[in-house]
Amino acid sequence: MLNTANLEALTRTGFVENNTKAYTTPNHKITQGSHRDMTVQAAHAKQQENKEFDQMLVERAQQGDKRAFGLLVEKYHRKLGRLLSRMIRDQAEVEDVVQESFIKAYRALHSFRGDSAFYTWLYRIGINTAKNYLVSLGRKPQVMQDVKLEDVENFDEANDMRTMETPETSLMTKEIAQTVNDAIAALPDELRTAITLRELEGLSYEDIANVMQCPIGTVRSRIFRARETIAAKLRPLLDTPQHKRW
Amino acid sequence: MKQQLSALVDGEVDVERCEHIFLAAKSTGEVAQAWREYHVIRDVMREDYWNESDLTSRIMANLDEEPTVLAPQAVSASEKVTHIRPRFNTYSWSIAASVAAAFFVGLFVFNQPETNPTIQIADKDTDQYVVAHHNYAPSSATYYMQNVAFNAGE
Repeated sequence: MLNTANLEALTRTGFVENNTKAYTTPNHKITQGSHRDMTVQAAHAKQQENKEFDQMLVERAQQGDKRAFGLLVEKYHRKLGRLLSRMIRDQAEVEDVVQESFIKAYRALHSFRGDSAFYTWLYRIGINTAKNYLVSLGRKPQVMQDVKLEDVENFDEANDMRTMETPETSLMTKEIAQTVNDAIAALPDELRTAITLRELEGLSYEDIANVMQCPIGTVRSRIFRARETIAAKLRPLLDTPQHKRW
Repeated sequence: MKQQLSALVDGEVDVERCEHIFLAAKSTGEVAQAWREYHVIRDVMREDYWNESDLTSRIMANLDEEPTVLAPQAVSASEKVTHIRPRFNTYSWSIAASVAAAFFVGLFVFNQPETNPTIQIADKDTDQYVVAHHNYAPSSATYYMQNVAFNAGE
């Protein structure tokens, strides 16, 4: 059962308002009262989801564990690529710059003290690497000049970027995105609500439990089951041999 | 364990208690695969998804050629906690030892027999005798002499 006091928050996910199984992205921001508080909490929850475990992975990598750094690469390379594709149009070039950015980050990892979030530090390296790359080619970096790193840290940077379709998006990439979206749309309502409130609204498990009027353990279970259901559809496309990670 | 990984991805697990998840995630099993899948799902949903390629493998292959980073070990949050605990225990034992020592010393002192009982070394008759003799003493210093009784209160 859903908490009707929070229906407005749920309508932003698209499955209360029109009662369809369509999974849609929220297209407007919360602007009033408790919803603003919820937005603040959501931003905090998103930061928490990254910072502590990232810091642990960084510390392990600083102690010589390259696989710990590999987990950070797996986590952020797509997001960094998305960011840098605003500066560099060619997909192969973006991949090269992303790769160079991670190598630079690894080399400089000993100097990372955790004063900022790892991804903020990584994005700085990525943006500087991209600028240097463009300068080396005699091109002038333009697109990212108005993007502030503070916005990146607050996760607001993507609002504008998301509207931009990457011209070089591969067929496989589109297929993967479509598969995920279809799988989400086909989820039972409770699972779809839980995963959407978590991933799109960024709510903590506690807030989701309040909205859905269920125990936190149930939220944890629903989100996990949603992910596993989607991953089952996704797995053949990703085709990751279990014996070969990287 | 994958359910714990799912919660960890959301920052809903105490990091200090996720060592086993970390070990599984960086291995080659299904937890490691789930790490990738969960983040692909997240990136697609948040429209941070950009391109699916074998970029991670390429990056890690390049990192294999890099010398291993060994930074001076930073004091992590968990280590800070574990440092505080022994110090707290040390202080606790010090305080307990001090209190115990004070107790035994106090016990010893207060259980001592009364070694200085009031002894009356002069009575009223003696006082009168001394005063009488003061009047005839040859030295002026006797002017300052006063009777003293060691039994306080009399």
